[in-house]
Amino acid sequence: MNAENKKILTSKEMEEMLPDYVFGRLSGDEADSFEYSLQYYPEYQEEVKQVREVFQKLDATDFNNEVNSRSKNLSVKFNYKLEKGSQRRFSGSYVTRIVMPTLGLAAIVTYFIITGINPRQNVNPVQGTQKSISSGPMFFKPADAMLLIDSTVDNNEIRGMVANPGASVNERISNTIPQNNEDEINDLYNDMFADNIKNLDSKTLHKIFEANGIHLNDMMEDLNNIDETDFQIILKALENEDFKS
Amino acid sequence: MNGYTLSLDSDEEIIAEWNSTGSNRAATSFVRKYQSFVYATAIRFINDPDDASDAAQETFIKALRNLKNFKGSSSLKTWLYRITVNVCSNMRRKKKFYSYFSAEDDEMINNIAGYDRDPEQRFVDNELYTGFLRALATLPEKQRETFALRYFEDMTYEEISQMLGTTVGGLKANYYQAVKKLTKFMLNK
Repeated sequence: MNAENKKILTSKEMEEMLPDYVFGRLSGDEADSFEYSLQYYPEYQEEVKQVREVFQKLDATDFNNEVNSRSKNLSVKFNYKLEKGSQRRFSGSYVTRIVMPTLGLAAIVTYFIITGINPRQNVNPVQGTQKSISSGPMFFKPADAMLLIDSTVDNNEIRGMVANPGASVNERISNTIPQNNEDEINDLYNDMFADNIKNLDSKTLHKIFEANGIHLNDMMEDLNNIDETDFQIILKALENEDFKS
Repeated sequence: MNGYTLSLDSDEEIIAEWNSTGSNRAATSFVRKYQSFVYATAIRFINDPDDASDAAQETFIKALRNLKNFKGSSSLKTWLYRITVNVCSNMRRKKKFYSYFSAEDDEMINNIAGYDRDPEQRFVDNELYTGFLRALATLPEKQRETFALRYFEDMTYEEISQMLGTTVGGLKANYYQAVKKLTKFMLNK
């Protein structure tokens, strides 16, 4: 072919063809055209050299073989999983399964965003500031929770109780509420907490979690057991949550 | 006499048999045909071999459950790719949340290299291999996927365009940028 008839490719065309040229994916004519034009682009000559150098080494590691060896038993694992079926590990009503963990999750995230505490670090007790996450008193005594569920307590009252836990509330209810049904009390507490948590300001939230390390862990434990589909619903719901402090 | 084959080859056979009988042969053929592709896609999005394996299994389960709804407007591979990406996105969202509360460090890529090579060679390969995976992970998603689908999966630009929803011209530009960045990253490390 007469070299004078060959078209010199534009810079854009050179870039679009460069990888396929180096990896041998161009047709004969395309490769000729690219090679002919390459003499006019010293910067692309250098690039071709560098790409070849890197990818020749990579080809030697047999990248695809790594993937193939990792995936070869997938059909076995898949069949096992198919037989096992997806198990719902967290049963309960929709409210219990979805709504409460959603709001609990919102509270947890809010707490860590507000306090700036990195939950991965060891939280050592520091006088007057942080508490160990594994210790701490219950936020509400069982009797308090019962009262709050049954009453029409508003947010100001809740804030007051958080600021001074056990101040006036215990005096009002301690003689009337049974304290021996811990599970029921905890369920009621969770309901009340979930209903009110979105309305609490950041300082109040801070105090709540400071005093409730145990509950934080319980929530995380529950979240670990949630069915995948439910969990994605929760995460998507959280995308709409406003976490302003 | 017609012989009974242990596996099915074509997508049409797999879909037809699965939709009519739900046979183990159809399911296994489907998985074996696409397991490398699905796993390779998953590892690019998730960067953890165990999680990628879980994601791949989840992908196949979802795909088989919905195979009746596959209309054939795209190729089966394209359809499967989209499911894989969706599953991986869900898994990443979940993992991101848990990682915030976990004390475990991320060990994303260090264990990917095969264990059947001799130790010295494995070390050398591992360095290059893991280095390359790190480089790949730094790319924007479109560039990374364009690169992987063209370079590793040997797909045409038209096929990739269907998968990623990008024009062929755009894909070529993505491919060039990806290769350029990967090369620079590997030469500088």
